[in-house]
Amino acid sequence: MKRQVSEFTSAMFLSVLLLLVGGWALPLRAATPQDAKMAITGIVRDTDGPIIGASVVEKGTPSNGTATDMNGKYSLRVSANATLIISYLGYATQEVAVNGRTAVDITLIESNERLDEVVVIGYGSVKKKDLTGAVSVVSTDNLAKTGGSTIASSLQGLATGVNVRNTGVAGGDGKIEIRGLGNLSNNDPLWVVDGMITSAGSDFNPNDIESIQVLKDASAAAIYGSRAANGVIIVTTKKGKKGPLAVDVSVRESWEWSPRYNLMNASEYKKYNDMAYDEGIKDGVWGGSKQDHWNNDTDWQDVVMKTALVQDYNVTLSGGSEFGNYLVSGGYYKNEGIIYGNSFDRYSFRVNTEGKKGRFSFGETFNFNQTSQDRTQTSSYIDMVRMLPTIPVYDDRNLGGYGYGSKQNARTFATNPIAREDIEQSNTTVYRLRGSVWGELQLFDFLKYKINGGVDYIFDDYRYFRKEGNWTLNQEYRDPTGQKQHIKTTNELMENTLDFNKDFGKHHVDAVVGLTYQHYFRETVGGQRLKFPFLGGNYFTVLDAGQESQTNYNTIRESALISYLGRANYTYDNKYYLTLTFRRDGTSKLSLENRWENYPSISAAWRISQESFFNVSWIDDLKIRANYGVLGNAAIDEWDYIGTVNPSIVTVFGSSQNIVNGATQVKLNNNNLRWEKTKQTNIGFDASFLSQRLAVTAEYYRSQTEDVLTPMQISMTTGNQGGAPRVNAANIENSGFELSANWNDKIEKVTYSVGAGLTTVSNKIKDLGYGKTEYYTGQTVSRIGYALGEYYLLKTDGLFRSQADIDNYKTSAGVPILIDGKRPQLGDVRYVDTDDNGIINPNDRQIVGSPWADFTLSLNVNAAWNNFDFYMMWYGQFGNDVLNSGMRQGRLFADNSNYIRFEKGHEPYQENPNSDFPRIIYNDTRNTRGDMDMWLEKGSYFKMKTIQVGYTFHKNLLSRFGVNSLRAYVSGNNLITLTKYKGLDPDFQNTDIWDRGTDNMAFPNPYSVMFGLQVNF
Amino acid sequence: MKRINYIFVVLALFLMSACSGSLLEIENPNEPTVSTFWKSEDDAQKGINAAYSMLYKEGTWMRWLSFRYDLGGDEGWSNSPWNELAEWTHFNYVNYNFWEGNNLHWETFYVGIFRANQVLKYAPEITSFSSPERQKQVIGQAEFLRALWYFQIVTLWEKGTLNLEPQDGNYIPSDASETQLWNQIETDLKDAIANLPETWDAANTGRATVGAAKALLAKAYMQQHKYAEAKTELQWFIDGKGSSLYGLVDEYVDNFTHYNENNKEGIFEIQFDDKNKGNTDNNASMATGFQRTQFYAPGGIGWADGKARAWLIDEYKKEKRVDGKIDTRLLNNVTYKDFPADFPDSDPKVYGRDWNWGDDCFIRKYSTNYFRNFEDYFAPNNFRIIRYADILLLYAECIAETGGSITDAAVYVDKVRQRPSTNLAKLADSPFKDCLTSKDKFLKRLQMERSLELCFEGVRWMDLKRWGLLDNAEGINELKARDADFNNFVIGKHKRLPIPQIEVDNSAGALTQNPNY
Repeated sequence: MKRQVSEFTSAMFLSVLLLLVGGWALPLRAATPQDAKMAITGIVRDTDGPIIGASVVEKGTPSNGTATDMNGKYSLRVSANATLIISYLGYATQEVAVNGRTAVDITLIESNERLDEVVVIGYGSVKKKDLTGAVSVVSTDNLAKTGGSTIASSLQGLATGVNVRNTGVAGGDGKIEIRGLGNLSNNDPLWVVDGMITSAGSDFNPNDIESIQVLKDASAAAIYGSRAANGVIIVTTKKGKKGPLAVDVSVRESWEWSPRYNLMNASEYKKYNDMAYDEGIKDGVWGGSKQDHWNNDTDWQDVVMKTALVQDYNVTLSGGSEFGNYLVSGGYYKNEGIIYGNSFDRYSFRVNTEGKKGRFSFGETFNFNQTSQDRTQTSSYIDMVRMLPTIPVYDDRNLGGYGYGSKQNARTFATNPIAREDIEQSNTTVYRLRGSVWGELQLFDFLKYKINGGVDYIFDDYRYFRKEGNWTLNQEYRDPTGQKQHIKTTNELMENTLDFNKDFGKHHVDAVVGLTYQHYFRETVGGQRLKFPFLGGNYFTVLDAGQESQTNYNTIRESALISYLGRANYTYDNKYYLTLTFRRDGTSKLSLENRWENYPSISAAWRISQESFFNVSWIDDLKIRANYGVLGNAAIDEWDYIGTVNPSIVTVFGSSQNIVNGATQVKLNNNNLRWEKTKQTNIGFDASFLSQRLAVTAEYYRSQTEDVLTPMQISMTTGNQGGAPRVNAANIENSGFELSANWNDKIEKVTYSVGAGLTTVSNKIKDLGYGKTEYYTGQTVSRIGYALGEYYLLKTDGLFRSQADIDNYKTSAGVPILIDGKRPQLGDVRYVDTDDNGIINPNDRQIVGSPWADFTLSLNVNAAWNNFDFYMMWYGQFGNDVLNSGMRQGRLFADNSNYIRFEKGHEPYQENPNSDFPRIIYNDTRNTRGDMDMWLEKGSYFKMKTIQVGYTFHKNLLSRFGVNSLRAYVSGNNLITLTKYKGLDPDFQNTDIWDRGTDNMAFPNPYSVMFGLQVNF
Repeated sequence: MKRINYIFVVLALFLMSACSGSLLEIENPNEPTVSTFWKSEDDAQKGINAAYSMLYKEGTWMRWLSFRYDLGGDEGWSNSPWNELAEWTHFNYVNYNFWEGNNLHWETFYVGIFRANQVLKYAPEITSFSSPERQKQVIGQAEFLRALWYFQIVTLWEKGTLNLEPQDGNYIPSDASETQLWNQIETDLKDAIANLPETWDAANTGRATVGAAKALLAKAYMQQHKYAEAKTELQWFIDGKGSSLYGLVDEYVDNFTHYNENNKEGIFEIQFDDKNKGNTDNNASMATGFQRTQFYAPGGIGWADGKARAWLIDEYKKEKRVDGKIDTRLLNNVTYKDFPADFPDSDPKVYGRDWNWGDDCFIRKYSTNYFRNFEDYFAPNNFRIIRYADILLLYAECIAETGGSITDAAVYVDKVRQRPSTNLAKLADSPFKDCLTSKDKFLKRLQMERSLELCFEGVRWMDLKRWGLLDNAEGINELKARDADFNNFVIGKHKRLPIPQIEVDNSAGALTQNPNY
């Protein structure tokens, strides 16, 4: 550890030294006499007026450039025959020959198509039109309109091939899957924020974002090699623009509330509960009597849910000159949470600066965030359904004073969520510092050296306290318990790159080579005590106050990654493109033999529209491209490849019963772990039509992930404990089609754009680990040749409605079929005896559904009329099945739970013999088994994620207050969902890859209404 | 000028190659690696200690195993509000993956086997033991523990997979028959007997001994109806070396409290203790207490998840002690409404409370009511897996089963009956003296004697199996009369649990489900 740090430090030191020397040496060169130069000035404007901050650069001398000032003016010394390149984001770049003029004014044309948009692709950038790989550029305007508290949650529907599954947890984050599930454990993409490889979850303020690019295919992501198998999300934060101080203030206030189950009240509950008990008593499966119901009527959803106020305030100060720029921003976000016991707040602070002198430039980003999250201790949505309406919220007879089940009156083990959240308190405060510094030297016109150092420090402060008291029936007594835990995570990155860029006539070559080193360290220290004193109406919760069972713990994780990387782009006449990328990665997480791996990729493109023979007037631009590449993944724990011995096991021996130490291997491991590799082919085209009003991008890809690293379940008979060991366990093929189309136009004074995205993903298992041909989890099966995790359940075939139905329930050989060892009765569920053996048992399971959607669809609409603007985004998925555990819980008559109201015509068989719902029986699961297809529902939905209307006030109205612009808006999220799914929300998260389509009563997305103001001074 | 820049490029390239591969050598500071462990006597000792640590898991006698052996039999039952838990004592198995009722036992036993297998693989290779004796002792203990776990597997499922060395993730379980498992158990126990000491010093009390291995071997033989072989092993306790090491304690209750643990009646005990109050994970604060009475104590104190069947009360009352009082083992084993009247000298309160549980009968054996008014998950009293009274009764059974004299056999039953605190008359002088007239009658009476002495000690289920009561309608009818749960019992099916379905599913057909499931 010491050695690593010192090598890291010395390498850092050398680099800094190098920069200083270089930086000092270079002004010398800048001062040497130049070719004959002349001063020129001019104004850059668009149809509305001057453009501030437009870039004006002498062609062929990229170091000679400037930006326009407040009045759109620029001045520059160039040679008389120079050509100027004038560019500004959102406008078509122009090249203008100076031809000896001293004043050159330019009018830039707005580029709807943004073909000249510069796309950051990792260790460099490229014009969007020159892309040879699959890269989605996310509209940060649309992103801001979703009002999401994290990048991931805001990203849904804004990029094809990027699937986001959201959650309504305050402080929670969306789950991103780029192009399906390439692997079986960690499908999180790689996040690169301002060059730092890090993560950008709920502690990252989306207000600071300038641009987001998603690298989807192997060629685009190849420069990140072993880390990029799940795709790469590159985030660039805002920088100051040339000009005086600009102040941007954004204020957003939202109200959020949760969808609800249609649960029964106490009298309805009692009616059906008694009905189920009567049936159980009649059948002899319940030996007791009916419940002696309490006389309460608690609406647990009323008690636990609340309308949450969400506040989001941001202030950004920025400015700059031709020699540098600065941006300082601060933000505060607070979400009260839609559920009792869940809240989140975030303070964020950022300073980004850049400076330049001669051929030396530097920049830094500094970002400090503090977040505080109070997580729910319990699954509130499950509890709200499980808690019986006859149970009171508070009950003095119980230790702690809260109501919960009772054997005679309310026979349930449901957790009282109010009690749990009051008694158990936990809070995680995270202090996170991200920063990066880079320095760049223009060695020659064609060659740059860049060093980039980044740090990401996380201090995670967890505190937990449990008061005396209980929240469920039959809970053992626990002393007041206090726990504190500190986790320090440091993540350091150092990168050295050389950048080459030169034109040779019509040939253009740019290339980058580099070396990066990243070091990760994480140490957890924690302690716990029991028996905290309750004095003067308060618990003393500092650990020193605990009087018993002091325990403490400490663990360390550490890893390092070294990478060599290179990329070369060759372009001929803007027609033919070729990119070669290479990366070699070495990780400390694999054994010496398996540590290093190479990741090459190749891609090519042909801009047909540039050919002289191409002569189609309505096609403005057409480019086809194809590529192939290899990516990797070793997202495993630090020492998974070495078997270890747990040294802290204890047992008891001796006449005085002493604790004696033991040690043994507890968790198995696989020594020969290798890199997981994804081989991907992508073909696509980009085209724009009809004077750039219509833009279409289409991609098809096929990727194969080999040696998938996953903790695949192994037999219990191995004696393994502590989770299944990681293994190179499978070979999965993903393929899909992505189409995005965007239409811009103007009707009278209304400008509008409509964008649509279509994504398909299909996956197939080619091979499974440990020589298996199929792999079962509780309710799914994964078979070679099929998709991952298909539903494998008992198939049902309606109800027994007549004695004849029952009599005919026989095998083909005429043997009467038994369900749970019994013959069915009228109103029971008819299970299909697949193996025809006369017993309904696990062998009768069949594949009955798939969690995989056929396609996802997104729709974005933007429109503006005078000062009004309008935005709407719809997102949906189609063709998947969802296992609705919430409905099973709300129909669990075999055990006690509150029930979801029956729709008319679907009442229990006892009440309505024409219904499709079976006989309800207490203490007999035959009609409510968890492993039957009755709970499987169609999961298709189409949801209006966002709708927004804004109004921008006239400048002349505002200028007397010193305000440049003011926009007010109102928006709504998740207000309309078109679906047949009966659960709370078809857009939910389940992180178990084998069981991804099961809605275990996940936290739904809240409805929300937001009011916002954006002011610029 | 240009030269400076070229130098600079060279320097930059040099720097970029300066990162060396040694940066990737990072050692695990948390735990030693397997390859550096298992080198010394101390390592082997730690390894065997870790194998014993598996006794302190929810899947053993610490908690759930009693639900199988005591509540599954006719002595106890459950009407837990946790319906699935209760149904698994009613022979109502719907979900074959029910964790607490099935999979947890399976997993726990195989983890225990894995730990024993590690010792058995590595300890023989260690050359630095201070004496061959010590090495043998370590190995013998591992053999004993492996046999102990396979014994539970064969008792619950009547088959398993036979796993005799540490495996890796590629391992696929495959059917090993009841006979194969019994053979392995016998082999391991015979080896253990050769390797283990007869006694340990005070610091090592609780480790397996020759006596523990012989007793378990005798039980293994008896389950296979090899009574002659069993009798030979048991003989050691009757007139061999074991007779000087073991005996009955005067006070019956001393077998169940923490006041007189590891006494001469205890042959193998789990050393429960309340110093650690953590969870049951594999860490230094791991809980090492007894949890079962929290589940058996009356409502308001415990969960009342397991209850005693009332027929036990009637059976105890069928015979008075020599002094005319009711058998005090009833008081020690069962709590019921009328116990203060039946035992006027006893404390009429239950955990300091007046009776308010109607006609329920609770399991008092091993409860900690004798020293406190509550239960928790950390009771300090040792669980006796095998004790001497059991040996005496088994010996009597062996005599009768091998055609020996019933009178001779009765001697050992009488020893248990005449324990000073029990103070019953000899069988010949008891209301049951008719049982001495034939082997069958004697054995039938012995079945009841065993229950009265050993109820709720985890032996009933294997007793019922050995006696064949689970194999025919007559046996089941007898049990039905005592325990309505047997109304659900299907002969040929329910004498064994279903194999955890997930294990069957993922074995590609090598591990088959038990018949009729």
